[in-house]
Amino acid sequence: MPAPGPLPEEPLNISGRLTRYFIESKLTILIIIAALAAGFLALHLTPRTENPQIVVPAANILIRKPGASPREIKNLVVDPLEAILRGMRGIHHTYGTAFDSLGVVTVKFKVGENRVASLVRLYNKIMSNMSRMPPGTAQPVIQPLDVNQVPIVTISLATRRLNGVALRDLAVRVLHHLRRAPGTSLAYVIGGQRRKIDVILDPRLMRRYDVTLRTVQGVVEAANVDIPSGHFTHHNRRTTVHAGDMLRSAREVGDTVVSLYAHKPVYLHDIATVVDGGGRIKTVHAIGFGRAYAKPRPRDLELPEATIAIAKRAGTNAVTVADAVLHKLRALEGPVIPHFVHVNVTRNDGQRANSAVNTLIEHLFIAVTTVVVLLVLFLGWRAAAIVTVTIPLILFVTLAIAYLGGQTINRITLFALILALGLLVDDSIVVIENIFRHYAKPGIDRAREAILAVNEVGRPTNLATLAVIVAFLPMLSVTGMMGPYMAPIPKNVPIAMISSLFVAYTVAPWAARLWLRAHPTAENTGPGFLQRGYERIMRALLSRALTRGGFLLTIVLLLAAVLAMPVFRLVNFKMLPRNNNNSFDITVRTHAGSTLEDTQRVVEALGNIVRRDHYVTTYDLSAGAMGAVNFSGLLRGATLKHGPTVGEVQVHLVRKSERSVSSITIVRRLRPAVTRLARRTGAMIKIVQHPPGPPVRATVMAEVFGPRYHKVERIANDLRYGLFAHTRHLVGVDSTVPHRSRQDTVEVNRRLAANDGVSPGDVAQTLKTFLAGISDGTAHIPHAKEPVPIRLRVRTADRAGPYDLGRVFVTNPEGKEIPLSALTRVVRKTAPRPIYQKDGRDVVYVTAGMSHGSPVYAVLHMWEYLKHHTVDGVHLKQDFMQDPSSLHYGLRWSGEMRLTLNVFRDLGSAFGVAIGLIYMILVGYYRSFMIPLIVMGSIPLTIIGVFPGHALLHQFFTATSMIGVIALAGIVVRNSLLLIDFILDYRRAGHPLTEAVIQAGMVRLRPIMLTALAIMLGTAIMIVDPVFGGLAISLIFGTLASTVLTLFVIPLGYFGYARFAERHQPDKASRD
Amino acid sequence: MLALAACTRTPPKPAPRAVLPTLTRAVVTLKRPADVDRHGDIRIPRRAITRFGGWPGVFVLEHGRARFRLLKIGRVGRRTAVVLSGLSGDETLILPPFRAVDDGSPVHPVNAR
Repeated sequence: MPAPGPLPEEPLNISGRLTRYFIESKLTILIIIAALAAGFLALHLTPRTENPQIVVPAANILIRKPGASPREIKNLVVDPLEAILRGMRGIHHTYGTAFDSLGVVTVKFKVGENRVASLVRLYNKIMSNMSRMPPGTAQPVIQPLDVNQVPIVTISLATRRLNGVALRDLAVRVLHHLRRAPGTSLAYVIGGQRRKIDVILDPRLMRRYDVTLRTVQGVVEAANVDIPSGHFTHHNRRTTVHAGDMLRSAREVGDTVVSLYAHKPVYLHDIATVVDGGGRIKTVHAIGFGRAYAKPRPRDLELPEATIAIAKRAGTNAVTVADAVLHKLRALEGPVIPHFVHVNVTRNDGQRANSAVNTLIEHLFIAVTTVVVLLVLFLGWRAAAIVTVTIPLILFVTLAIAYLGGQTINRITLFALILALGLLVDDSIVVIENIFRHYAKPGIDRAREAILAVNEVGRPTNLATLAVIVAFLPMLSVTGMMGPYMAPIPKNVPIAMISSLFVAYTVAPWAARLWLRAHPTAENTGPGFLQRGYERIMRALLSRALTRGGFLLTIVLLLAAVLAMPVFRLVNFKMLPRNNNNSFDITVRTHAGSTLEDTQRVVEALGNIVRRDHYVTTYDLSAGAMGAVNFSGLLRGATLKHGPTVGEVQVHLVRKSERSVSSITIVRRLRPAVTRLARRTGAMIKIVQHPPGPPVRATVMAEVFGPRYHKVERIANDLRYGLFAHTRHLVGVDSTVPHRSRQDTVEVNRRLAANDGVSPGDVAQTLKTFLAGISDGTAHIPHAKEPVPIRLRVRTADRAGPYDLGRVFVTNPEGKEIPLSALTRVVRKTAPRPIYQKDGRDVVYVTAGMSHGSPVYAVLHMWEYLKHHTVDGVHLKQDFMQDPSSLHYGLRWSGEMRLTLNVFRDLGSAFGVAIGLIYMILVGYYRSFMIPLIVMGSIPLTIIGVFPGHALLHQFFTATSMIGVIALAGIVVRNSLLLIDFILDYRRAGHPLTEAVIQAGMVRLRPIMLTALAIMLGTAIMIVDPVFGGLAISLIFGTLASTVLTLFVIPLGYFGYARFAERHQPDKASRD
Repeated sequence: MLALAACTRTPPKPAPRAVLPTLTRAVVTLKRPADVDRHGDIRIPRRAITRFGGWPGVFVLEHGRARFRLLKIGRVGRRTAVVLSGLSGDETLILPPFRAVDDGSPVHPVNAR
């Protein structure tokens, strides 16, 4: 191949050299093919998730010490444990709770800490400090909380034809099949009833046959033994020997001989009923069918269900795992799952991620098409075609690099690509436009001219691209959960920018050489009406100093007015707006002391409310436990919630692509009925919508600290029922101070007990059997897939209340039976209340959600109130960021408010750093301190568009809006940079100052408008997204305002500077 | 373009509401204090007790429909049973036969007392 013709004596810069190498190289076509292939592969192989995966290592540590009061637990277990843990590296917060007989410490590591290393350190730390725990504490249970534990698929099996045990058994069998799908990890069944062998003792018969609980317990345990006992060797053969016999069925348990009465054996079935079944019902799980249910509708409104929950292994693709699981499920319907069982997939994160990603890919296509239409209009179809070819190349290269870097494809990645789209066409446009200009000359060497054209624009283009990159990079330093959530933007935009630069220097000139055709007339078209109008205005501004001053003053006043908008609440701040989801949860907590049946009634009433909505497909009701956990539930501590007062309704809606109403509206419509129900039943009912970003424990949260816990509790209650209850838009106001509940203490009369030779320990043990039942080993049922415990208990009917203690007996060493009522008396007390701690300090949380609006203003309102008023006679010291003093009663605002402050602080500093970096680059480029400042004058001009844009569309100024502002800094600098560059060029060419300024503006008007329009139209599609709408508003309105104003303000600014410099240092100004 | 993005796919047609025949059943309306035992627990007719997929309970008449109510049942006598939890004492219970009664069946009540 002939080398491109002779090149100019001045050496080529890096852009020119790149172009020279690739313009006629065969490699270029290979690069194109490779990029396309890599992109397609990446698009299919990269794991898809809806949102970026946030690694927050966390663990619950549960330590039991039977009999200890919450205060004891706090002092002896939780306090020392927290102190030990807080000494560890990488710990962010510790949350302790001291219950009766149980201490729970939740450890949260810093975001991004290595999960495995953190947990290993945690185990090590706890185990090496176990000796410091008081005697009588049980071995701690450590439950790591892992995002990968969150089920991605939940499948509900519902029928009333099977009982709880049979339903659970079916679910477990199905689970065993589904578990074989590749990529699954934790999988479990929720609901139904576990199989048990219940030995329901009859106290009357026991007395008749003279059998005590202790005897029964001992005999069953002794009968249920099978020990590998060695082996026999004889006849040259060796056989293993097992001694004993296992209890293999309820019948065998019943046939155990428990004692002898009148020389006849007394079997267990003589004194007890042995039942193989579900035992006492402790949890209730049901599925309800809403109006939008699309499968054949069951006859019942609600049905008992067992849910199969399957999580995926870290790093696998949720889409493929979910597909594999559901494929297997379809095969099971019929052979394993009977036809009368209703099978519903109630959660499918794979499909959710896939549809989220596909929708955005669609949006990306629409954005590309809009930009292409724009290019055709401005550049003509040949140039537009070349630029269009480069767009998918750049996007594909970016996706491939993201895949290699271990990223996932999620919503944020795709938003980053859409955002990058408006920027990345620029490089190609600039290059193609310049080649186009060069080709207009007649009789040229196409390759040589292309190289020269690239070489000419190379430096400013590199600089502009670098400016965009440095604007985004500081965003990587955002702390907290928001950091990894937003990370795809600062990661992918720079990659896209670099690849766009590379493609613009290699593929674009290569294609231009082959296809670009220049019209010699193109150069000679006269100025359009826009340019003529611009020229007229500029001349007017430049000729009269007074007009100029007036214009600049107006701009400054406008800027000041716009900056005052947040003060007058024309623009409201919020961290992230709500998302339109396919499901939401309603959590229920009934009064302490409520029974499972009470809770179930509240939950069922909620079912009646949600069933009426047109968009509800199914809903899962749970009472006594929570349903399948989700990410926000995991971080809110849902795994610790169980017991008869706990309930939950998970509501599943029609897919968002198939409904015109947002889940936010649906929740708003349901809320009045839910509030009425809460008021009627006295239960705490909260509607939990999954946040688009990082979850918080509560939207509005006040942490109340103070020296005396009782007082702190009183203050918290005052806040809860006073200030919080009367603040507008706060809903579901709650605190961690529980309602008073009753506790019956059975006090043993030691003197009487000693007289009869009974120890208080015997009484306690007997009572436990009587009330809770005791576990007595497991039955060895060959085909059971879950362990089947044997439980000894007394019939429910015989243990309803304190008046039944007269029917329970302890046997003293002489064999005399003494009724418990003779030794004890029942004292009714209030139950001790749990004590909460955060970071080693006693705390009471007062929490609330928001019906709508931003928590920022609710908190500010309450903050203002508390500044001037006392609560329970105490003036609370309020803090937002720092730790409150431990000597005074104080309150720290936490929850989303804290997160909002952190995010805006981090993004604000990122913005500051970005501006500093851009300034440094520009100083390097212009070798002047002043000109970069003029160039960067366009950055504040963006605000003139951003705030009014948000006000106009009634949107919150969110974290994504702030990201838009940071992006704008990089984008608009590019416009003014090229403007100033041209002015300087014209001046170097000898034009007078006024002419240089006007001519540069007229020449740059078209490309600047083209770039601005590309950004505005490219990002317009994002406006419909509830979360990233803010980013789009910032970009569109910011670019609009800044572009229009930049065209006047920057030349005027330079004009003023140059005139000033000429007057003071005539020799220096001429050099600039 | 925005309109293009905002347009939604049509959802699958929801299943029609289950059409259940109206059943005529004898009912018992609980009254305080007649149906309360000496410990304050509610007594109901034993035959009202049924099972729904393994859960013990009764069908309660709510807005003209039979709804299943989970109960904790205490001592069961020959004709009555004691309910430890699950009823407030003013419900209307549906009496057997339960064969055709589904959760949500419309019921035409006939007072048994």
